[in-house]
Amino acid sequence: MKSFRRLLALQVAILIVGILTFITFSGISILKLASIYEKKHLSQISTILAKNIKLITELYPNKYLIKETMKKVVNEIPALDGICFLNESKEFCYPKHLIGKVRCKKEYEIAQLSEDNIYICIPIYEEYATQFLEKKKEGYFVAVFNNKHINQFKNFWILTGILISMFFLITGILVIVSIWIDVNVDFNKLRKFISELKSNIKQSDMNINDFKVEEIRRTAELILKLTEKISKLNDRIKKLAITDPLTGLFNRNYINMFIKTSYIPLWKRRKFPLTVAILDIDNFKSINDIYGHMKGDEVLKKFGQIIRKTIRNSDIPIRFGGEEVLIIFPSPTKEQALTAIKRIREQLIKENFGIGRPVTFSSGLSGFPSDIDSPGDLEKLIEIADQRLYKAKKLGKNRDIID
Amino acid sequence: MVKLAIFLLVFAFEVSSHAADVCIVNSYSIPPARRVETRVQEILKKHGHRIVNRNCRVKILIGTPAIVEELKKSSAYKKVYSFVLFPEKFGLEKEKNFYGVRVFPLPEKTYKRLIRKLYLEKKKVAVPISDSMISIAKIYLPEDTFSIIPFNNSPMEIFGSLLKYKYVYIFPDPKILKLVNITNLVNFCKDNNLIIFSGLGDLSKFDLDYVDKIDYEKLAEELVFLVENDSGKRILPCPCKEE
Repeated sequence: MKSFRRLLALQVAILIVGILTFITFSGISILKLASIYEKKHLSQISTILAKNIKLITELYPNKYLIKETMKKVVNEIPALDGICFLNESKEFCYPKHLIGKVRCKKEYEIAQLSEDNIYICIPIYEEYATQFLEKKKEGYFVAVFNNKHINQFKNFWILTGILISMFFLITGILVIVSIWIDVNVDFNKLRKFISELKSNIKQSDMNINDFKVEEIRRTAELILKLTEKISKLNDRIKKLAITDPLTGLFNRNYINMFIKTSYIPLWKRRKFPLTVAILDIDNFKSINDIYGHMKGDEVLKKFGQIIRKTIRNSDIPIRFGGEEVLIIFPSPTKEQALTAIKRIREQLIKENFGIGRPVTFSSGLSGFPSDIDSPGDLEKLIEIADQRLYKAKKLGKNRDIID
Repeated sequence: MVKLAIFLLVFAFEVSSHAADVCIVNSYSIPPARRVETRVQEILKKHGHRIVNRNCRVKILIGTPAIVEELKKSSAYKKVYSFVLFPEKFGLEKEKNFYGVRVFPLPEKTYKRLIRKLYLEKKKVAVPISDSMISIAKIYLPEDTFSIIPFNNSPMEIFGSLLKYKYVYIFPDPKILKLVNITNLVNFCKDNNLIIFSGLGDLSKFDLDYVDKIDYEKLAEELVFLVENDSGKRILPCPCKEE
C-alpha cells in the first residue's frame, strides 16, 4: 500500500517536472527563434536588397533611376520604411527625411531609429573581377524597418509557438493521464488480489506475517536430527541382522549378505591364500545339562569375546552353529592361522567358569591352495574343515587338525 | 693547426654571410599572395635562411600596402617585393635597396604574345582607362602600340570609340575591373568582334580572347633569387607560363 502511494507521488512529480521542462524549453526556443528572426532574417533581407540595388546603380548610374528603384522597393515591402546609401561623399536616402538620421556604428546590428523604426547597416564593398585588387568598402546600405510590422510578425510567431507548444503539452498530458489510469486499474486489481491472498492465509491459521525464520531453523534442525537418528537405527538394524547378540560374532546371515556376495568374488579375482577354521567347544552339552543354559551362554559369550580380542581385524569370526565358530583367515598358511587358534585356546583355558575344569575346544582347518585347487569354493573348505574337526573330536578333543 | 683554424673561420664566415635573416610582410589576404608567401618561406628554409620578425637583413614585401608602409621608414636593408601593380607609381625603380618582380606582364609583352599565338596582324590597341588612372597608364602603354581611351564613370561612355579598333587591352584599372564594367565591356567586344585581352591571369574566367597566365612557382623562386643576389635590374618581369 505504501509503495503504491509512493509510486503515485513519483508519477505526479515526474509529470509536473516534465510539464515545467517542456514549458521552459518551449519558451526559450520561441524567444530565441524570434530573436533569430529579428537579427539574422532582417540582416539577410537587407543584404539581398543592398546587393540588388547596388547592382542596379552600377549598371545604370542614373540618380533618378536609383531613386525610383528605392521607392519601388520600399513600397513593395510592407515592413520596410526606408532605404539609405551612405558613403564618405554623400548620403542618399528614400524617403529624404532619413538623411542625417541614420548612423552606422556597427555592421549587421539592429539599431533603434525611433519608437516606430529600427534600422540595420549592411557594408557595401566594391567588387572586382580580379583578385589583385582587394575588396574596398564603399559605404553602407541602410534598411529602415517598421517596428510595428516586425513586432506583429514576432507576436504572431510567439503566439503560434505557444499554441503549438500548448497543443503538444495537452496531448502529452492526456496521453500520460490515460496511461496512468490504465496502470492504476491494474494496480487496483493487484492490490485486491494481495488482500484476498492475505485473508486466505489468515483463514488457514498461517499468519504469513508471524511466520519467523527461527521456527524454520528449528524445524530444519529437527528434521536433520530425525534423519540422523533414522540413519543410526538403520545401521543398527543392519548390524543386528548380521551379528549374533550373545557372542558378538557375525551370524550365518553375514555369510549370505557379505561373504557370498562380496568376499568370494574378490577372492576369486585376487586368488589370495585363505584358511578356514571351525572351532567347537568340547563337552558343551554337559555344561548346559549340568550347570544350565545360563552357564552355557556365559561360556559362549566369553568364547566370543576371546575370539574377537585375539584375531586380527581382517579375520572374520562367524557363529556357525550352537557352540561352533567359523573363522575365515585371509592368511598365507594354515600354520599361521593355527597360531591364532592356539592363542584363543590359551586364553579360554585360563578362564574360570566355576565348573571345576577348564573349557577347551577342538578345531579343524582347511585352506587354499593346500586343500583345494581353485579359489571360490568356500563351502568345500568348510566341509574339509568340518571333517577335520570331527577327526579332532574323535582323537580325544582339545586339539587342532590341519590335514 | 693554425691553417685549419683559419680555414674554419673563413668557412663559418662564408656560411653565415650566405644565410640571411629574412622578414616577410604580406599585406594581401588574396589566395595567390598567400600561396607565394608560403612557397617563398619553403624555399628560403631550404636554402638555409631564417624567417624572422625583426632585425632582418632582407625584407620581402607582398602587396602595395606593405610597400606604402615601408616607404615611410628609412632603413638600410634590402627590400624585395611583388604583388605591386604599379611599382613605377611609387618610383620604386629608382628607390635604393628596392628590388621587385612584376605581378602582371608589361602590356607590350602581352600584346606580342597575343599576336604570336593567334596569328594576328599588328594593329593599334585600344585601352579604356578611367580619368584618374591616365597618368599611370601612360607609363606602361607605349603610344605606338596602345591608344588610351579615357572615360569618366563607366566604360560604356567610350564603347563607340572602341569600334574604331580591332584589339582591346584591359589595363589593371580599378574602374574597368569592377565586376559590372568588365562584363559589359567583354559583352560589347564579343558582340562587335573585337579581340579583348589582358595580362591579369585570373580574368580568363570572363571569356577573354587571350590572358597571360602567371607562373607563381617561378615568381616565388625569383623573389628568393633577389633575396640572395644583387640583380642588375631593379624590377624583374612577371614570370608567365609558356603555352
